[in-house]
Amino acid sequence: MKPPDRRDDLNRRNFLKFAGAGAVIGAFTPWQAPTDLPKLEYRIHAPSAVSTPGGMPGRFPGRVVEVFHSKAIVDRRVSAPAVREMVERGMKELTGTGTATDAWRTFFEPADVVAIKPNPSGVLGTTTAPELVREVIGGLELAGVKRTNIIVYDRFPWQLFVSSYYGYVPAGVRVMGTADVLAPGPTALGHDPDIFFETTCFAELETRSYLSTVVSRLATKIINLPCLKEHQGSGPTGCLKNISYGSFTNVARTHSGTDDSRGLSGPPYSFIDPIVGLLCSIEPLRSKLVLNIMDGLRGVWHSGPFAASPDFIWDSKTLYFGTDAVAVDRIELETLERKRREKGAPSLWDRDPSQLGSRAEKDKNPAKNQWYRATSHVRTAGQMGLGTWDLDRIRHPKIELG
Amino acid sequence: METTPNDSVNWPTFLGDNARRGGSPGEPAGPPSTPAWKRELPGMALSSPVLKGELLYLAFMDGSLYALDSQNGQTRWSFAAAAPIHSTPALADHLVLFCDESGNLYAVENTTGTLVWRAQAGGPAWSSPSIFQGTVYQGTTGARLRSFDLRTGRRDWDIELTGGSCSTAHVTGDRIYIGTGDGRVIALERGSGRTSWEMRTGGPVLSSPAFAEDLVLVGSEDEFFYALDGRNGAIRWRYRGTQGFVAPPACGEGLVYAGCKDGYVYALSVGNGELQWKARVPEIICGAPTVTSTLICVQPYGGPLLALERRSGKQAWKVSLGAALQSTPALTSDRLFLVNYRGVVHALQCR
Repeated sequence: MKPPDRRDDLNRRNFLKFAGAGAVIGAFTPWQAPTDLPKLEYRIHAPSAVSTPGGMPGRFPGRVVEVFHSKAIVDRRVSAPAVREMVERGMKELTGTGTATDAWRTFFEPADVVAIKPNPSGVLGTTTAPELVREVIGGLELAGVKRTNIIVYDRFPWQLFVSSYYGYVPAGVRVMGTADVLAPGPTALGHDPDIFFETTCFAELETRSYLSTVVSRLATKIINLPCLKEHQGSGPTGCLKNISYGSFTNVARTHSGTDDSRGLSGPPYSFIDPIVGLLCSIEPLRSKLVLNIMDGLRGVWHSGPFAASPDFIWDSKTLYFGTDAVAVDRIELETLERKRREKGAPSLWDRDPSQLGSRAEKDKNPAKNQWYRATSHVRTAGQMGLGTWDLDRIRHPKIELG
Repeated sequence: METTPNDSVNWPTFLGDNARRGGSPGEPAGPPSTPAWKRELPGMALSSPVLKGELLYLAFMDGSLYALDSQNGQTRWSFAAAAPIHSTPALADHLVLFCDESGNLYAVENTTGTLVWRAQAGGPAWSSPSIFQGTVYQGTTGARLRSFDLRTGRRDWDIELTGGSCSTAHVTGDRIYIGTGDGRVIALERGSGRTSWEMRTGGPVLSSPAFAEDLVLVGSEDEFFYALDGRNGAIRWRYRGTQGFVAPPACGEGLVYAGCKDGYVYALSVGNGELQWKARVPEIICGAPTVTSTLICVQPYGGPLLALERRSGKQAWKVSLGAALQSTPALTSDRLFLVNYRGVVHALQCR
């Protein structure tokens, strides 16, 4: 079932107001079927927008470079030499430069402090490959960025730990988990009390989400390394969701909890759309995110982010390069849709109530899911001006290596 | 305050010995039953408790080191480091030694928490100090390995490793063995720090080596567990799991017990690597197992603490005390001590 092609409920006036304001109150009515959700009222407390040429949608709007390497995974393991070749080729193609050094210098200069945001949330093998993180660090070094000015970060230190990023990065690079789930709010480790998004989703006690200080204070630029992955709540979970939900605290509340007074619960409902786009729009996150490289070495087409079965994972051996997070996520969405059709699974747009099921059912049956997936969050972000949703406006060169 | 170097102050490897007992004596009389006490301390815990006499020492990511009374959990003293502490403390005579993420190596008096000396280890430290015959050895993620005098903290030698190290060194009479993030296992001369040999694996070596039967026993992120000839680094055997090995292995009575990220504990013959048994646990294993005369205790990531029969790998008992990443329990004849990731310290009575 395709959604109606409308976003009349998206209140553009309210959205535009906060771009230059210190504190903004707005409202969205997210489209959700079969029952409309109540209007989402929110407040943003953030500095005035700092317009930068590199920020979302970045230097190359509507451009996504796809690089496949037949030897990217060998004997179950990611091949570091293949990843190196893919990164160099993808960066040169994205920037139109002749050398890897020039490609990286398109975005970064020696004085930069660069934060790298992997996606460590998933079963092992479906999180951002440490080999990719290491190549990105190598690229930054080509641009003259010092190792001590490179930070690998996520909210959850334990997920960074399990993926062993700390072991792969060269000496000098910092690996930082910024959140302690026990202390949401301004006292939380590593989050900025002055930059937050405030709303109520499902009668949660803590109604604010704070931005990581890595983003607000430490970094001058950010590289986003999401994974090619389906998420049972958001549909595709790509650039937009990785950078927003990994940089702000207290975001699980957008798709979990119960509000008895309104007769609402997540699952099956969520406010992922429009909250993902709203969080991405908050400064200085929007301005600092200058590059996305999506790890599609392995893909998850169902039951993500923690795929319950290896049957839902495939070796796709691909990386996607772009500055336009919406465009990269749109290509991701089409890739996942293609894979799901191949497997006989329903579309990520599907909102047939009969497809709802328990977690256990979802873990076994690709036709079942706990949520009405918020696949539309990518389109909404495009309508917010964060990037290119329309496939006809996305240039999408494909390169095959190996 | 002086320490006289002698064999009783050696702490040559992660958690003190190949069994990873963390200074804990004895064999639990039975499975854990009733709670003896519980403390909720601020800050995350990524390290393991160690025990000396009546005091239980624990390090936290808020930069605190606590000495708790093991009988009732009350704080005897605490020490504030300059940065988060990932490092599991090491014990030597009257000192507690640990390192913080700013690279400060501390020696504090074990009954009072008074700072005896502080030295610079040369980069953030995730690993623990190793102590042998009056010398302290500390590696860092800043790719340094330094040696210090145990009594004074005076630096002896300082070498640059080929990569950052999260691996706690294993020290023997003449050698130091350590893993690095660029995939190497390196053997160095203990007196000079000069490299004796190095062997490159296919992934980062984050695990802390054990040493038994003249073999260096260590896992790699390349999915292999290695037994290397201590003299020259030659591979004597290796065993493949289905994910990386980051947990320090434990040894005892001819077997090495290796926890893997694939959710198995593998019991392998030290001599030839033959699989004796493997036991499935519910989660990824990042923390070292601890070995008693009859049991292997392992705390999987997010799962319950499991006790496996040492001979068969069959589950003897389990207890859920909250998610832990790397914490290894401390066991005595009547108590079990564990700190979970969220900083809750549990003491359980063993029947």
